[in-house]
Amino acid sequence: MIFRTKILGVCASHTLFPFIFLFLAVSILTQAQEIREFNDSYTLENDLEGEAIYNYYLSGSDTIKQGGFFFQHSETDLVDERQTIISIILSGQYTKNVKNGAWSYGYKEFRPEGQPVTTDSEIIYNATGKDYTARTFFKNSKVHGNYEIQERTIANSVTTDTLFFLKAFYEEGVMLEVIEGKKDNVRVSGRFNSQGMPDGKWEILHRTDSGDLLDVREYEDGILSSHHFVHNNEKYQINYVGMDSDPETSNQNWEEVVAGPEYFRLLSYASVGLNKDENKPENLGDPMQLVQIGNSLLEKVFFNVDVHGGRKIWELSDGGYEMQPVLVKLRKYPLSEEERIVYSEALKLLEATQNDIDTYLDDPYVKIGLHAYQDIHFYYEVMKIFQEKVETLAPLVNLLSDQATQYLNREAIIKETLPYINYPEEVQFEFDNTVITDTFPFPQGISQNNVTMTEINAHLGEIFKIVTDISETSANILEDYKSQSELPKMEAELLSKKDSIVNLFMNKTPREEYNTWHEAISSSVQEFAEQEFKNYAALPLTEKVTKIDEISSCFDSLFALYTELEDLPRKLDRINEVYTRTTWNPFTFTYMDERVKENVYEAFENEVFPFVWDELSGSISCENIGDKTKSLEVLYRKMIELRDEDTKQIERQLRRSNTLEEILAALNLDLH
Amino acid sequence: MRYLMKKCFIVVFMVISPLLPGLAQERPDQSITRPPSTALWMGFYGKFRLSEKFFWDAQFHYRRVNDANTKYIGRMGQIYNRHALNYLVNKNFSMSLGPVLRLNFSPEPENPEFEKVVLEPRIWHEYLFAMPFPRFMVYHRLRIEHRWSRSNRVGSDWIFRNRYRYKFYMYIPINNTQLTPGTFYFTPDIEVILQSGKPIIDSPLEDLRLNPSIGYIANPRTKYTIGMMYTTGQNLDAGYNFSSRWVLRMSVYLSLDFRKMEAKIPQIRFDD
Repeated sequence: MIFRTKILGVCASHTLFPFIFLFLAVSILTQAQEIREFNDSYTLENDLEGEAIYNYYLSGSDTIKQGGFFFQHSETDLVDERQTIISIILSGQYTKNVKNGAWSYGYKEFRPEGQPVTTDSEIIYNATGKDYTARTFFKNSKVHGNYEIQERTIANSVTTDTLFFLKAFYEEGVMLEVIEGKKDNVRVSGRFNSQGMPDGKWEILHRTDSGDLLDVREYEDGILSSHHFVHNNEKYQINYVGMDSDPETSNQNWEEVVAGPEYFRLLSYASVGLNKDENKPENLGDPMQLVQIGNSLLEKVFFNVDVHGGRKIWELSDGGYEMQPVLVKLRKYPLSEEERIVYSEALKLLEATQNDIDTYLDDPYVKIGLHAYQDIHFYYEVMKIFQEKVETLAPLVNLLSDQATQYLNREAIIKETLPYINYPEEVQFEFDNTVITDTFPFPQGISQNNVTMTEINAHLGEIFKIVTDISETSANILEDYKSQSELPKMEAELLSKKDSIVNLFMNKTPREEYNTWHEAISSSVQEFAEQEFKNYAALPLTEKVTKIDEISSCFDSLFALYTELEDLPRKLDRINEVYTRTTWNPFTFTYMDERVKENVYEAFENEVFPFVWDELSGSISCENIGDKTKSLEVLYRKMIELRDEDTKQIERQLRRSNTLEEILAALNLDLH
Repeated sequence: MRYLMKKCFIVVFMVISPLLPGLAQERPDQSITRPPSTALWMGFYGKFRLSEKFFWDAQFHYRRVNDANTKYIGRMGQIYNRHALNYLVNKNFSMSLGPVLRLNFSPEPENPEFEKVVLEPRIWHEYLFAMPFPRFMVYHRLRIEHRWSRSNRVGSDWIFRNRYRYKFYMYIPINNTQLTPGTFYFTPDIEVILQSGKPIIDSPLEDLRLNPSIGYIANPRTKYTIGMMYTTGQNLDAGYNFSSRWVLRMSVYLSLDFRKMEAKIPQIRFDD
């Protein structure tokens, strides 16, 4: 009892109460931040599935990664028609969901090679393929420390080539100090200033079969101040036009810009090559091509070190990252609104003209027609001239419509880039083994002196109009030729029609509509259709074009005849019916039929219809088949009309008629 | 032929004998058949359509009989005027009712004891049944006549008799399958004529007529027939006396439609 009282007394004291509270709170927090391990299927960036192992804790309902992170994606795919294992491995360290510490990204594209080797529990193959590895360090999600990239080809598990290599240094997300890099046979080295801008001498070494060539680019705090090649201890200056390289010219208009694609496009626009009075290095090909290779390597180093296979590799896992792209300085030449409009119009005109010219020159009818029509050949040659001129103008127009052009002195670049557009006085070409020379009203050429973009636009407009006119004129000329070109298709249709006609009239596919009238002329129609087709087939090509529609139409008439004959029994029955009077005979208790207007009916039955039928069946020809078919219809309608008319006079005439002509005249029938 | 006729007569007689209670008491042991007379009957039969159902039946007969010198056409026999209103009940049955006025010419034109012409009025009604067959037609005709007649003998009395006629006949196309214009046809025809009335004592069988004929349908309105008819029957005065005749009959049948044009549209036919 005494002990119990003592305990209660201590607990109740004010001294001990805060300690008890702290103990409980710490216990609760420790419980909440209990580190757990995830080891299961995991998806990166919503599309890259694999297995992940990482540590985490729960903060409320949020998962907070803490500690190591490892992800592996593996798949088998066909690469170059061979089964290839593709794997992606991403590993690093998190602190409360923030990248901290060493991280690496690996991409491997391997296929098994050689004989397998077994161990206690594994089968091991050598690997052939390529791999890509990027390693760096993060500090509070900022790249901080060495940054290495290596891309290799591997054969039988041995490195055979280093495709790309980069060794750089970042501090708080900014690339600083010195970098070394390599891509294929090109090496690069340079350094950055404290703002992460290239500074000092950047050397790009091209190792070629003809020897080394050093591409030296001098940067002054991000400003490309000088660019030259060194080859065999000789220096070759690369000239730039329109891009200011002197930091002292104006302090007002210099801008820090990302050394990305726009910057390197600008470099290619502005770099115009070696000094004109310098001889280019021997055996090194086009020095501007080497400039482009250097630009490409620098773009990869400056702008794409965190990109592989189209993916930003450090964005694959949570937590993000900060990595400032390399910056450079460029002098800005602000674009006026008027300039933007002119450049935009120029681009539209250029694209429309290029499209029309390409369409024309690629048109198969034009390509074939130029051998058949002298005018088409002439226009074809004219179009080729326009194509060449427009292609010459295209780089300038494309350049001026690029956003990068705001860092260029347009006046200078236009003057430098604009080619001399000159049109020939005559167009010469060979047609039908004859050299032909003809003139064409080309627009006036453009000289490089003091030409404005407005004038270039006007010139493009002129070309566009002429190109449009030529296209229209040619289309008219080629209309016939197109018909010829469509001949095979039309002939196939004609053949199909002929076969259908024969099939119908011979009733090869039995049809209910087939009747004795079809049968009566089946042989004639078959013979006629076959002969017409043969006659057509024997025609020369040029005559076929003009004839095929006629034959096709003729065959259509045979289809119409078939349809007419389908209805002929009904029509004959109908005529018989309307010319028959049915009477009830009260003596016999039967109905009796009686022919009415007997003279008319007999003329029809004995003379006119046999005549029409004989005409139809006896002499089928393309010229008359339509009319002969129509005669059946005309005769039918006449007979139906006469039934309701007062025909006393006609019947009197018929009684006196002895010849078919008199009968037709009495019936007032015009049967062609 | 005669044998056949006798057979027929015997059959008919046996059928009707119970109806003849007072058979002549003074009768010979066997019947007497007179030598056949001859006659020429020329008839015009008209049926004129008045409406959908009604026809005017108009008949005119011109009959000559033999005399001592001339067979068939020796002297005038009778002139008939027979009319009736005919009602077409359906396509197989019709009924007629009408008057007849017959002119009986003197059997002995030169004999003053005989009147030249004596009228004989009648009322007649007829029931005609037609039975269509695929290749021919069969008819049953029942005709009842109420007749008032008197002999040509001067001063003779009027007598009233009823006639009960049953006629069976057929139209059988010869050169066709149907009775259509242009068709010749054969008509087997047999008719029994019985009579009753106060004057009828022992001669109920007035006539038995066998009248085969050949006909020709000229058009739906006109047909012609010709045939030789043999008749035999009891004499009114003495039932045991049987007279017989050979009658050459020539007839024209005419049917016209008196309706308005729009009413002539033929009905829809579902047969023949």
